Amino acid sequence: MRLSRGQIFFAAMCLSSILVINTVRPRQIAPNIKAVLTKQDGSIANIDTPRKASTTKNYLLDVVEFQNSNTLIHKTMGPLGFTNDFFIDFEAELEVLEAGMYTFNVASDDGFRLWVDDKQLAEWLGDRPVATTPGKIALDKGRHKLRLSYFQGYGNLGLKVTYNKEGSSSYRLGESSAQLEFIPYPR
Amino acid sequence: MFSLSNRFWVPLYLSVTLLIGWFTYVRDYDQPPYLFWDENYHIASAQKYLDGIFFQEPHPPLGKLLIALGEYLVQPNVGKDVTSFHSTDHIKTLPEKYSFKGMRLVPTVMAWLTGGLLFLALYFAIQNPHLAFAVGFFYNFDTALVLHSRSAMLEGSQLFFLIGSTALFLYLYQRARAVAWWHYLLFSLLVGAALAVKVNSTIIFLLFPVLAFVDLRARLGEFHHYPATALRTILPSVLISLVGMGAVFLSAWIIHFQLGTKVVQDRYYGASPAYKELLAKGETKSYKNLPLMLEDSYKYFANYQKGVPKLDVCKSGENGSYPVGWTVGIKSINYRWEKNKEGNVQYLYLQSNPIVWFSALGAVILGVVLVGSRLFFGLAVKDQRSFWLIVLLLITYLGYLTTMMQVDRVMYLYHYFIPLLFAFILFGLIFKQLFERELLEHNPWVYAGLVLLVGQVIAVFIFFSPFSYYNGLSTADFWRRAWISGWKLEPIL
Repeated sequence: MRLSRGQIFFAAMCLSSILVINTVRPRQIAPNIKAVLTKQDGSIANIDTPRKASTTKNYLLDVVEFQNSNTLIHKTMGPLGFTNDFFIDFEAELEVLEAGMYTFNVASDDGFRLWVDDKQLAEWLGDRPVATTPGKIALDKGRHKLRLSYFQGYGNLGLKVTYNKEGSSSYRLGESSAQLEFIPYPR
Repeated sequence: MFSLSNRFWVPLYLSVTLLIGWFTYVRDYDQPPYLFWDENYHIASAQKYLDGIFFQEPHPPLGKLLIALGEYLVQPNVGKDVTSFHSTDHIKTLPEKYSFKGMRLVPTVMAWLTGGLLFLALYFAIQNPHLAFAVGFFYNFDTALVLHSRSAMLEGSQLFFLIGSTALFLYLYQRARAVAWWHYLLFSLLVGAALAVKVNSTIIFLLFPVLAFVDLRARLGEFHHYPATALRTILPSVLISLVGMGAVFLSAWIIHFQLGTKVVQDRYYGASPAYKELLAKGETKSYKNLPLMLEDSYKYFANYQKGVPKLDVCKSGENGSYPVGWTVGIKSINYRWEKNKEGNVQYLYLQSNPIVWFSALGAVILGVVLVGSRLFFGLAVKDQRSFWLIVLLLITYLGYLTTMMQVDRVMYLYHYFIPLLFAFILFGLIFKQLFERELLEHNPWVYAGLVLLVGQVIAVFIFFSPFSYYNGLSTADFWRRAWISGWKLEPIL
């Protein structure tokens, strides 16, 4: 079948229209994670460095995923304008739908500390290149609170947190699954 | 549907184009009620005209006179103390509840009417009202043109005069008959008015010799066999054109000199001792002093240009950009921003509608390919008249950009508006070249494709429109609009 010039033009416009609609359609970021970003007045040596805030910003995020870079770039929010010496404190509330053993994997550059229901699961105190530290916990059905403190000292940074129930697939922190549901803000 | 005559379609499309333009250009043009970009300068100058204060300026006076005309007609700020505008060229603070209904009125209305003129220019060029109407959406739905035109700035009136003269030129070109003296006069008045707003309108001079050629060809046939006859035939028209251009250009200056009589706080700008004396004696209204005042104004203009910085892309916060980058919208300019109660940021960001600008660039590239194919490979061109029009518009487009590249001072993205509008006409002509038979046969695929293209233009305009209308954006929403890193869109965090 030989297409006419008019048909080729129409097909090209159809394809580009699909691309345009997909790009410009309104998107809602699921506000599942609260993040407080604190710029330190001075340098940060480890996660316990006393806080001395020069700037604080609040964000609601869909997932905890910042790409490995020399500046803070969130997966969906884009660059946030911070590079060195800052903390981020994340909070989320989750509804466990299937009780069982859950693993939270924290890939970070630099350090972090993770709690679920005020129980510390994992930490890395000082700086490091991107590396993953797991934390495990048995969770009952029902609501639970998760907290994560992260710091970036100097140089490159990055942070990605995933979770999975034993024997199930892995998801990014903030993404609801058949086993676990995040409660969006405002509550 | 297509069987109806152009006498039906042209007025209908013109009305719809103006109706749409009313909503994108004119509605709430006084918002936001804050100064942005060069309004700080132009409103200060316009107020000086209204209050009879002497000043000198780096631009010819007509654009600011028209800004002042709006304020004079509407008078939305009666009783507000604007005397601080007399002693500054750059307003920093406005009186409480200052309204922009007057100062922004004339440039905005002229920018709106330019949409109608562009539709006519397109129709004259391509002789197809449906295609002209479709391409007209490029103007009414371009985020950068809309933002910059809804302001007390110079481009709104400048583009009106330029597209007005272009539309007249295209009408006369396609008519291919002898050009009447009053056509020359009207054309030269429009060109003179464009020059009296901004000097970068000079590119429109390129149309003059072509108009004369069309005229001579109609009068004499192959006129080049008779150069002396041609010269004699065209001389009166040249004189009429010079008189027309000179009259409107000089008139603007005369009004400028006659209005600015009072000197505030010894602000003489670059006035020579002789000019100062004229001001002191109140003799600036005398025509015999015109050469002296014009010479002083030219000297001020030349000195001012020397003081304008050069483009420095390494400088933090540099808003200027290279002319080559303009073709793809490099670089966007943050005119103004503020954080709103919801925690989002409202911007007035000079940002192109990429569908519009890339379509225009595509037309330029295809135009170069077409002309190259004709010149180097002998490609047969059926419609010679349209082909030479494409050549002329390409020369105008490339000539403007080449000239801008030679300019020493920093230039900005909105300096691309003139060639951009020529590229819109070029788009119509190239499209007609590509689909001439299909357009004549009302091929449904081609017209449906055009409808989809217009849909994309509108969709992308809506997507980027928060930058034009000062609507709040979250950081995430802002970054969704940063399609090309070269635009250098930077959110306020």
